[in-house]
Amino acid sequence: MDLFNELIRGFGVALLPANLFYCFLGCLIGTLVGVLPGLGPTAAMSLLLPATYHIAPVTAIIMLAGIYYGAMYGGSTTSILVNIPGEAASVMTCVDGYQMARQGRAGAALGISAFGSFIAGTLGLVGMTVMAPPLATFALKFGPPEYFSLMCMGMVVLSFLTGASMIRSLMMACFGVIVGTVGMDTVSGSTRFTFGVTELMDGVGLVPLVMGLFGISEILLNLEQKIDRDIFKTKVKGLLPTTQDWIQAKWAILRGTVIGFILGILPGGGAVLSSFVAYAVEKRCSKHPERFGAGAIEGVAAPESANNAAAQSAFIPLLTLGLPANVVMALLLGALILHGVTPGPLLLTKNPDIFWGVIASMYIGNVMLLVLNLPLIGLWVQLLKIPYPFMMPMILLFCVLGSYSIANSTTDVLLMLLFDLIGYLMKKLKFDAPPLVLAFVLGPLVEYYFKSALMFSRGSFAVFFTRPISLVCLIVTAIILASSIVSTLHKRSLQLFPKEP
Amino acid sequence: MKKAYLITYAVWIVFSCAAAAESWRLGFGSFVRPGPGFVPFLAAALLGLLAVVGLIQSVQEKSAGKKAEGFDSRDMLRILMLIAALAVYVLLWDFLGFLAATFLLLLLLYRAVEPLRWRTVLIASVLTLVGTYFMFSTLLGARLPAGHIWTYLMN
Repeated sequence: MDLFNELIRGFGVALLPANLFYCFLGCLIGTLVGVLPGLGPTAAMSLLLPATYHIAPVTAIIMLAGIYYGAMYGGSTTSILVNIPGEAASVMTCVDGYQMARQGRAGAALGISAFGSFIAGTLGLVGMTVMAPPLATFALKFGPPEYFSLMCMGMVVLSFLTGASMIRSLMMACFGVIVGTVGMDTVSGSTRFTFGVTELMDGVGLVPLVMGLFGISEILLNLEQKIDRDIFKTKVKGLLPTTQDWIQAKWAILRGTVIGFILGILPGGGAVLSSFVAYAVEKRCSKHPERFGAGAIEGVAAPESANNAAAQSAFIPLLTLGLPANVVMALLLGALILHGVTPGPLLLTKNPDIFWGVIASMYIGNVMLLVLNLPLIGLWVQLLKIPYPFMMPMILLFCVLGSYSIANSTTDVLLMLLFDLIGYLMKKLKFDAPPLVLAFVLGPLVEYYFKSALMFSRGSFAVFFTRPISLVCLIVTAIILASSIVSTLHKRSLQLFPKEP
Repeated sequence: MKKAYLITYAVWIVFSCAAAAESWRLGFGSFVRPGPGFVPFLAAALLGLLAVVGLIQSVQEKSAGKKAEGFDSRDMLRILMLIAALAVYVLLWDFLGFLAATFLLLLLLYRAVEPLRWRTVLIASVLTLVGTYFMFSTLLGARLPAGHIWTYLMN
């Protein structure tokens, strides 16, 4: 009953006119970002982070969250109609979605993806509503050693799952920790790595870093790759799936939801990975796997459901433990901290309006997205026809001004340009940016918990191994590192001593 | 690609050494009382160690014998020029002011990315300028520089 009452309280917050408006705005921008290739939700959220400084924290998070799960909805449109994923989590939707469009079933593909997303998103939210409070209560038992070990595990798991090379991903995590320490040390009061630049005393800003790494560097890469946007010339009709479509897709939606929900909670999982896994599982479960790749409706329903369920469940570790599961959540963590709110187990007791308000807004946002995505599909298709040369200067200017407007500082813009060059080179050399951003956001917290734990134990590292939760996290970290080393050595031995045919 | 990685790992090794040295100077402290350089030193040391492992792996790797994948000198030059243009644009704000500097930048961007007709370039530049100015200055209250030159000319 308590849960129900709290949810009602959340709806009281989410239904305030300002919050409703920003929820709608977030969903609208998210859909737009999802539809347009070349700008992902991370870039859009970092672009709009400065705009949230003037609004209440709960309103800011409602809008930013709306962008994230809105992008998951919108991403399917380009995948189905143009065969180009609007964002990374919609890559698998291209495979069968585009084939369905070619067979004149674009409407059914778009419809099942919107309904699947809605069902998965709503079921994910129900799971989140039930799971989050007990997890937050459990997390109250966590002390500095547990938090330190948990954060280390999060960074290692993310590096393991997202990177092409574990070494390069871990290097980026270390670099992120170093960049996170720039500025004044809150304990000793001494300045670190500022080199006399006064503007760096407060540290490197989250917005210049993320905009540089994700915003502008993506545009630079788009400049090199000419995106061919031939929209498939088909009339989009019959958006409501038929009974036959529902029969074929129902288990795919449910399986996709469960897979997405579980992978979304785990560090490094998130929407992208879950859509790939859901597609693979669906193909394996199917009695006719040969239909996959040739326009199977399950091939659209499963990944779209999975990425939406993951987009919702990823909020659980953020809101209950203060631990972001992926780079978008790291950005939201940064946004909460910028607004003076500390995410974690105490969020539920200290800021219940934020906790339940954000959850309730997601229920509303899911309904808004269904309304936005189905009747307005024609408008989104028209948007795809805007030539990239028109959009690129606008996005560039928004990045520059967004970075500048936080503190009216040109140093922030120059820093963004530096990270933009670094981000571009990183993408070229396959160094992953997500571990860098996660470590940058978590760096100051890792430092605080690490130092606190050591001071508490009088310099003994045993404190990390004698407490059960901390020990479990470190064992998981060690297993992941060991498996990565074994796999690298195995590949290397095969390279040096190839098997005789 | 092998050469590119060798250079990259070497740069990371130099960076990690510099970061570790600076962290040590800041004060490592002890395990009981960690200093301000404690965590950055450990992060820099680990970064250096990983870069050395990466360098060794790259040295051992058989060269594929093909051109560095994805590194086109013309593309690189374009990207560097774009970043330089954005840096110059920001540095020009104080002198030219936001409006004039942005108008020039937009003309350059609309014309350089894909040569559009001048009339289209002008219309797109003006519309983008008005839209962004309205959004950032009027709606978000950002203090955009007016430019010394206009103050000087007005007086």
